[in-house]
Amino acid sequence: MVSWAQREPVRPHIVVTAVTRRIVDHPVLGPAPARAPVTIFMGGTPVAALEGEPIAAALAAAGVRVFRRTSKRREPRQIFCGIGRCTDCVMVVDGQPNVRTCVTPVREGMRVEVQDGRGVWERARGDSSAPGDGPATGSGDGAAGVRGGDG
Amino acid sequence: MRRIDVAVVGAGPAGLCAAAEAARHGCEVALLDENAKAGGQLFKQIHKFFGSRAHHAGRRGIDIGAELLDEVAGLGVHVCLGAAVWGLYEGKTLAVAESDHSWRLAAGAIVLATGATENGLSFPGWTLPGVMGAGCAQTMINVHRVLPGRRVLMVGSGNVGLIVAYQLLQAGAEVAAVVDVLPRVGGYPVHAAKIARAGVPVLTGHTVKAVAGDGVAEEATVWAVDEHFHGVPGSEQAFRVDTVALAVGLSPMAELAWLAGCRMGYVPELGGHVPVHDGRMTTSVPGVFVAGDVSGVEEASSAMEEGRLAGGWAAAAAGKTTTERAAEAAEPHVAALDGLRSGPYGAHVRRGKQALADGAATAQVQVLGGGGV
Repeated sequence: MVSWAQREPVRPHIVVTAVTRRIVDHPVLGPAPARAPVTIFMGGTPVAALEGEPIAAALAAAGVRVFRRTSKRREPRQIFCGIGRCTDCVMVVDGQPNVRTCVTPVREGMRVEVQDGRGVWERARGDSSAPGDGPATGSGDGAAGVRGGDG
Repeated sequence: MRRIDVAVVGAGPAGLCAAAEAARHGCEVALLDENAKAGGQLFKQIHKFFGSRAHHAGRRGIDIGAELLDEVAGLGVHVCLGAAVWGLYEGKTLAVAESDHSWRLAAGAIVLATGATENGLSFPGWTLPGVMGAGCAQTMINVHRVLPGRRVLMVGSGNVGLIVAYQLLQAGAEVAAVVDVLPRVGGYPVHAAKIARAGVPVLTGHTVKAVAGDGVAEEATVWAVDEHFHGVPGSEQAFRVDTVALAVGLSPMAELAWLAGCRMGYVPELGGHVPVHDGRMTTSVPGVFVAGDVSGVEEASSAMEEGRLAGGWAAAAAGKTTTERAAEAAEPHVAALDGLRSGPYGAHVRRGKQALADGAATAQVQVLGGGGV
């Protein structure tokens, strides 16, 4: 075993707000660019988000650590790859399950729910023929119908 | 069905360079990416690149990315974002899905620049919230500017592990330790030195035994390994962390190459299964080229050079330039790649690429498939 000598840490200047995990100032990137506030709802609770950021970033900033539970063993999951590849972070968004929250931007009034297993499709409002209507198929093709119906 | 001279799949460093190079040779180019923004992983690379002869040395990935976006825009490349390529059919036809419709694109030549995906590492508790790829943590802090956790254990001391550990410190997180199962640090000494100066212990010859917690990661136990990489009982150390970042390598995302019927080789030095290709980035399927991590996991600097090569040769395959002109344009990029891969840190890539070039004759390469579009 090789251990590097432990010394007093030398830390670059950092400001992280006490209430969230947002990185307000950064030694290389500078101050965070101003972005319009957006409110999304996680299980009915308002969560402060910023325009353009993915759902997963807003939830992580708010300290949310469980995004879904697995089908068989109901184990908790959050994010793993963060770039839309692994689908660990999928949640039910505006009634549509299996939405990759790490690559889906927030929208004002968006409803986000912890996904239980493979999730259940919410009936598309006022459009019984919407392609997303009905049980989960694992296909993403119905997405636009349900989300479109929610406006 | 739409038609194009050259279609490039993936708008990361390799794809952007391939698209730009093909456009310079007079091609009409479509650059497709399923993400909302082009640039791939360049925009989370906030450190300065280096390499003795690489012309991007001393510059940050975020700045290089911005420059490449300007370059493809100036050359009139059709950049299609939110466009996932889900099929590759006969006649070099791509199937593309956007949010509400799917369409087909026939190309004179195709460049696959689909990149790579982070590997996992299985140990008890590896699926707990808080255990994530190091690249994921890097995206969260540098792109989204959100700390995924406050106290992190980094697993893997290659360049990704070292760089992301340092960037986590810059973002205001604590890094409890960096562990690596190998007996020495894997990344460049310059990155290791930054971590050491910050007082972060680096435990080589160690791995994760387990991560535990009440529904989320709360404690990581590491232990020493013996010469067979088996854990040594009694050597356990526990770290109170809410995040465990895994920097344990990447695997090429070669699904489209499989679909196209490209001959594939399994080359551990290049990250796993990669399309067999030559120095022109040509696969076994005529008109289908590869560039960047999908052809073997390396760094952004080499991905950009491979992109230039693939773009130039794709232009020739599409009939928009001559072999002579493509060869002339390729020369500086071949030289740059040789430079980037020189020295001890490039040895594994040189070995891997050579093994691929030698094809089935090399026992190291297990060649699979062999059909073709």
